[in-house]
Amino acid sequence: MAETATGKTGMEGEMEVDAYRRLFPLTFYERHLLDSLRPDGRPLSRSRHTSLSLGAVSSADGSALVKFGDTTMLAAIKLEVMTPSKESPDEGCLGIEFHMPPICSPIVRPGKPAEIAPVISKQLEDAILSSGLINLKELSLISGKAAWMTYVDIYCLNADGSLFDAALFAAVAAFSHLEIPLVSLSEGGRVITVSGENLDNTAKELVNKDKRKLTLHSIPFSLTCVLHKNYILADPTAEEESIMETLLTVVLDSSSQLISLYKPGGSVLAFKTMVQDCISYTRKRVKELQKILSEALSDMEID
Amino acid sequence: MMYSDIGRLNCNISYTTFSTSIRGQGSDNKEFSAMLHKALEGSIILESFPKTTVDVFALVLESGGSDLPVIISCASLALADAGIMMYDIVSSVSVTCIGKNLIIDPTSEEEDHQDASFLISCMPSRNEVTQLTLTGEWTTAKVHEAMELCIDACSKLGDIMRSCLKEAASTLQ
Amino acid sequence: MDPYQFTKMVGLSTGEKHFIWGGIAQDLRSDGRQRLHYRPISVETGVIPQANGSARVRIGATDVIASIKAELGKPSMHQPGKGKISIFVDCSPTAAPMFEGRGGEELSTELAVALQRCLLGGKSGAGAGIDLSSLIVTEGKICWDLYIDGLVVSSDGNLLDALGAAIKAALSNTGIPKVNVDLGPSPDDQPEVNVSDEEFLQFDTSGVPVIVTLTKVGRHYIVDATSDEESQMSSAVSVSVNRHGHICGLTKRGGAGLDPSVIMDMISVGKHVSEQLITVLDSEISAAEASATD
Repeated sequence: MAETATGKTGMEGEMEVDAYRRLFPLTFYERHLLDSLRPDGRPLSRSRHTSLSLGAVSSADGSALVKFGDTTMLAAIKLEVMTPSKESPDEGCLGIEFHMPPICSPIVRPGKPAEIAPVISKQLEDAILSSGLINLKELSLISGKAAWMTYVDIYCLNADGSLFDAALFAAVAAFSHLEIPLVSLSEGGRVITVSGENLDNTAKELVNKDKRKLTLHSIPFSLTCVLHKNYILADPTAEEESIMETLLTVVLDSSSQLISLYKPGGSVLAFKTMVQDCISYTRKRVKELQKILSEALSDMEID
Repeated sequence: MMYSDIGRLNCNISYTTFSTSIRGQGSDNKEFSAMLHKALEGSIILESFPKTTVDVFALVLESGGSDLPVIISCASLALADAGIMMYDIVSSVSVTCIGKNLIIDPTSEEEDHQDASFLISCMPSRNEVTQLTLTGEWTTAKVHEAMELCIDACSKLGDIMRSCLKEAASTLQ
Repeated sequence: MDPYQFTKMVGLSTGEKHFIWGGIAQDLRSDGRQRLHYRPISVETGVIPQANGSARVRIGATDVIASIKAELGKPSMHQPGKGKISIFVDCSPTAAPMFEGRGGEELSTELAVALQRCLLGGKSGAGAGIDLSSLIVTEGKICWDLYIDGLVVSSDGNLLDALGAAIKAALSNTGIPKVNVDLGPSPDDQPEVNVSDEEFLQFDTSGVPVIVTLTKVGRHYIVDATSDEESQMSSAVSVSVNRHGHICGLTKRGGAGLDPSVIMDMISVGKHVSEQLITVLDSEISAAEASATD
């Protein structure tokens, strides 16, 4: 429809930029794409400014706040002691949930949840479990008796595109910030958590004294690109996602091996070269994200 | 929805699953939502936006006691930030009574042991109370004492909120 | 059809509004009462035979029923020495046109919350109208759970006061069966419970407060407002006061702001009114109890 409405009527000269952007969003974008520049001033392959702060939620065992431009994600991990299942007596459990509360976007209202939230939830779970980021055996405390139930909750505080990428980064960062609480065995054989204050006056044996951090194997990172004609736009905003509907998400691990690739339909059929380009963009992005994560971690150690 | 020649206010409070010490215990938010609605309703000039609803959504990231007063003050700041016409900003403070002592701005632990509680929301520069709740047993003198304590705290909090808004407005320009 | 049904749906005319406002200003309300006078209160107890206690209170055209059901339960981990009470309110769709569909839901929750605040005291249980520790059977194991249900049958204003009075009356009508407990030899055993159906313990209701709602219309405030008067209110304060003149709970309803000194004044007026209300209610309850036993 926008094609037919292109400025041939002579309206465009008189119209203000903002109004034009709203009325003919696609042509507005296409004009920018001709100059290889996006309305917010980014080149096509560049991601938005990314920031990360660890330990944003003090009541959680591990947490991270991530911003990709205006997209904001808060991930927090809570550990609870549970009895492992009979099938896998020396493995813990992982529960990942992605939430989109009403504050994140005008389209979400109480009683009318976002359709995309459970989809992203599932994708996150797939990416984290299949990448082998967490070794579930490490979550075991006492074989057959006690293990950690790990709840990872990711809240989207502001939804402005590339939700999966930001959520995955937040979850990964929260895992690297995670510090496992100390536990000890009570007389009745029950596992109780020991908080920092009464650490000194508990004579009881601590179960996990030297296992406070999880070893993170191959960390997954991702990049979502919008495909439109021959253009590839990395890290799209919500506006870009809604105008150009073909999305392609690549998930790579830290050694650039492909974990997963999503292309949920869309009008653009991706050629081999396009997919290859997306992967190479993602490789670059992985390096950026790795650097941001290691900087945040080393900052924390200094403090 | 029915036609209305004044604006409507809709409030909703939710808790994150990690906000409380035991996962997923952020309950009674329906009651909180109703109380938030009452605290704010009196401060907004609803006549200034007929046929329109203003949604106030609050998300509690971490709960450490005195949740409701913080939510109310925060929501009022957000309304001001959104440019909604108001008579005045609403600041809110709660007091817990343990034994004979009044404790202002109680933590969760103090709230768990409270004998009585007192919550006030007011518009400081108009000296008007928009919301007031009280539980437990109180003598009139004690109510008086708590009221004075809270009103004073509300006006101080109101000053801080005001300067925060001014700062935000000046950095925008 | 109730001739007033129509007015309730469309609201009052300007003339009617003026009449109400003028009347209140001159201390002579539309039904001939003064500002601080209640409508006649009638109490009937034992109206629901299946419940452990019940009462019906009518204040003018407002008609509410409270019923109390006691069930054996397990005390909560945090308070092993106390029973539990839950309060629910249901606004029947027949009580007022606005309660049809889901319209009464919000009001129901509001009333239930206000009643909880007025009757159950602080979190530690201090100042509660009902002594929760009297509901305990075996500490940490068995206690009575009281389910208090309020039903609004007909609404003509002042629901909270009426519900408060009905609950007070229902509680004094409540008999809790005597329980014999056989604790097993080891502490983990499920104790054996014998509920007697002959012996009942009477409930001590002397500490249960009454609720007085002061409704502000114009510059004055009135007690026991009818729905017409409530439609004109700018704000209302419900104070619950016990026999010792202590305030046991307070809720502000309605959005408009109030000056703190006005609130203090309303509290002291509420306290004054509550003394009379307690006397009236007590004599009504004992009369109702006497006629029920006859």
